[in-house]
Amino acid sequence: MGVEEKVKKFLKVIEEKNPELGAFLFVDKKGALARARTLDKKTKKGKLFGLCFAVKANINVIGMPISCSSKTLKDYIGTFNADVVQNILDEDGIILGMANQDEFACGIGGSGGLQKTKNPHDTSRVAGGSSSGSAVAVAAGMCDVALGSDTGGSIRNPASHCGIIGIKPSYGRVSRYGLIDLSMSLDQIGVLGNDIETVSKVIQIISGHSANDPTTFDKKVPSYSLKELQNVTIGVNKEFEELCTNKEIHKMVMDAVEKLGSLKNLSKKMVDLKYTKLGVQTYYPLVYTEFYSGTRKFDGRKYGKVIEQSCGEEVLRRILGGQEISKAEHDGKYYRKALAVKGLIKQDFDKAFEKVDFIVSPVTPELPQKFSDKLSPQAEYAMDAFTIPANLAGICAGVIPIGKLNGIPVGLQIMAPAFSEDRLLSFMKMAQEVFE
Amino acid sequence: MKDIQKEAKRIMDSFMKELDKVKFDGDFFVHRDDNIRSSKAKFDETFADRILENAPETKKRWIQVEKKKW
Repeated sequence: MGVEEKVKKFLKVIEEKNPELGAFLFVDKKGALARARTLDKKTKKGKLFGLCFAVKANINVIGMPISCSSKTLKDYIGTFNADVVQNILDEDGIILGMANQDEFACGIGGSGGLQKTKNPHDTSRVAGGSSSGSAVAVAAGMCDVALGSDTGGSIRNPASHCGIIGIKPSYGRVSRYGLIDLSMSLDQIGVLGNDIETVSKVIQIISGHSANDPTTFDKKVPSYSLKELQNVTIGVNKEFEELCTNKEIHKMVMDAVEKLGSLKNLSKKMVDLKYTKLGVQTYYPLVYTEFYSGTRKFDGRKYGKVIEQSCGEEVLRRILGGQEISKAEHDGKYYRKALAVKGLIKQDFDKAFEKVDFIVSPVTPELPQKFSDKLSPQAEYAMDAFTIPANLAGICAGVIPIGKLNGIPVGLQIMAPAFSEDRLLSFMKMAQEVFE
Repeated sequence: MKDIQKEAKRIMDSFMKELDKVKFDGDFFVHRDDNIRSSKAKFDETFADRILENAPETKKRWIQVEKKKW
């Protein structure tokens, strides 16, 4: 199949499904077709030749609306390409359009301030968030693969709820240049896809040092060749059982761990991650503070509208909360205390990874909520309990689907030491074969 | 807006209560009073005169110069 034909096929699916599912905020039909025609004429093909992408609406792409699904930036058009986007274009990938998300990546409902995104497995439920549109676009066959961002689980949560694969690379592995930040010390761009091979190919291309992002590590990117691993030890943490409020999900995950035992040379150990149960309490003071600081540029003078006058409730809560805890009279105690506990959580993981290669857990403690359910902010925050620790520890983590509960997909989270994406992807490939 | 602010504060306070239960072996904190930099150098009273002397044009104690001229 030629690239033009493939793009036309995806555009047709988008036309059919997007009005109901709301995955894409913007589709660059003309641009994608023109690029496909150019690619069809190429003789020397890039490593991502003809791969069609959905890009989360907080990642800059020239000429496309980078709204962060917010009325604040509704009319803002990207003037430069994020490093990851440029990497993809350099290797002959195609950007189909911008995917919906929670407003400024704040939340797990996935609907943002501009449109609703529905779970393709049950349209009465949310798709998860914040990279909702990216996950739905992949799950509903509207693209090959998608880019998302993950600050506390924003790739892994919707990947799990939509039954696809999602990877959050280690902090510093992928350039964040061009990503509109939620929390600069925790944000990471990652990939959502249907198969490990495609996801690995994309991660390989977008990984590595960038002069544009000083937080990227100048460390050689190994080949993500998905080779079979020998003598793998996986870790399970007993604290996770307490955090998993839906016991059926916990049982599914534990059954999945047993099933993984069928893999050759795999052993299991209990690990102690006692501070991970404070993940949510540690994460939000950091996010509130950094988000408040990061949004000061949206004052309506340079671009967009004044954020406090145009944003939704959760964004406003984080801004006002961040403003409150940044007050001089608190002397930074909230932020510094949270940073100190973040250090302890990282130490927990460092110690655990001396004993095991990977740590497995549920992705969310509950199934995605129905649109008719109104969750309190704290109940929403608790949905990130399993995914937040990986961001706080700066490690890499991925999600693979392991089955369905009441017709809704459930994923398994696999966490690995920082900068071991090669081993993580290899293990995810091995694990995926067990559950297929 | 006030209600949201109060709610955010309440959430942060409840989180902080949980974090306060954590006991640390070392001291993770930077103490602001110990970290305010104080300059030992005395105020240079000749500074303004030297700047005025260096300026292309002055009027009393004001520097008069067009943009990009100095």
